[in-house]
Amino acid sequence: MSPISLAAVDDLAIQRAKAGDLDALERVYRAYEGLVYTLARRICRTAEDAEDVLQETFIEVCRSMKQFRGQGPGSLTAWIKRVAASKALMRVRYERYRVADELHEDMGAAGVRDGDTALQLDLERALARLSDTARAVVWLHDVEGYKHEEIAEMMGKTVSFSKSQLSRAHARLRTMLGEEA
Amino acid sequence: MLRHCSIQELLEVRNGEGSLGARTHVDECAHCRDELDRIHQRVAALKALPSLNAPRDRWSIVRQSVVDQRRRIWWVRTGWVAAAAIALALGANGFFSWPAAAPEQSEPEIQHLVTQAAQLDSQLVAVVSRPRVVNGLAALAIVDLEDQINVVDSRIGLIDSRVLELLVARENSTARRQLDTRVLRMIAEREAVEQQLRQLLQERIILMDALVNTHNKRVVYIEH
Repeated sequence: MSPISLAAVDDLAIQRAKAGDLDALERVYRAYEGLVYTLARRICRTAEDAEDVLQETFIEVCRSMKQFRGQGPGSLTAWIKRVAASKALMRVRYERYRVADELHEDMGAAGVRDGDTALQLDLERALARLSDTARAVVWLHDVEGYKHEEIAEMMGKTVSFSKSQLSRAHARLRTMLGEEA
Repeated sequence: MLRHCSIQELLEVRNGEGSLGARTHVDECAHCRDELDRIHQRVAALKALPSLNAPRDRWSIVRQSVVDQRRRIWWVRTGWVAAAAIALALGANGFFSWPAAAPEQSEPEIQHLVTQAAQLDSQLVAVVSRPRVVNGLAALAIVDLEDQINVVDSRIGLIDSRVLELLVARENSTARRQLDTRVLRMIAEREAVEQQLRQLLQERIILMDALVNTHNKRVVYIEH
């Protein structure tokens, strides 16, 4: 992932944003919208869901900014990512998503059996074909660097669940990417 | 180990959490080492995926939401102060007489409820500001409670507006004495609104209390 430009959000901008300055809050939004949307899009099923997560995240960030106690853009990044991850996971927790989740997983397996060659899938498509839960876990753990304990806490599940979802995700990615030994 | 490592075992080895047997096996088994390398390569490829840009700019919606929320908070915090000030001014000018005892009882009661709600707000802010990972279930409960609180806040804002309209309407009237009956109805309506406000404030306090408890339980759970 390309690093985001945090130059626009220095300590002064953070202080102004905490004071409720709308221009400063917009600078925060502009600096982090790509990071938040990317995280949301990797976890959520559709671009529309990811956009909603982006919106909900920044409404929450703007509301809670004055309570932000971190120092500097680094901790602001971690805080915003945590808010975004929570919002994205909340979205995939809805019942309709769980139902769709099972269907989606089945469709993926059927596709492989029908000769939809795994070699033709690039990583992005393979990622999109994982179940919502497995995709969220692999992204949060392997890319965003969250620990299993943190993921389990965010998802309201056990650490074992997070670990098994990660290994499941890797097993499916391995198959879909044609990495069989 | 006489068998190859499972993916879960390899992932644990990668994270430095694998058993001694699994780590020893990976050191000695070319097949499992290759598998571990593939995991490393896959994760590197995931990290190398490009950033994405939202197709539509959502800032205007976010901004409007922030402005709307500030307006609601302003109404909740200042609405009754303004209403009380106007009411006091009208009463001091002898425009009408308040029904005996009712305002003296209701205003402090409302003020007490507002103060109680503000204290819960402060507790909530103190708890929420701790850098915690939000539990999914707790987050859903919090969002649900916050939604209800926003609805209550909005209703309080509407009631405040209504009370102000009633009081200002009377102030601007040129035929006050002829409107005595209507003024009495307005006072009665105001009292009904006050009753509704009290109920809303109590409802809000219950919700805020539940919200603070939810956060506290979550913090206790995480800390243990």
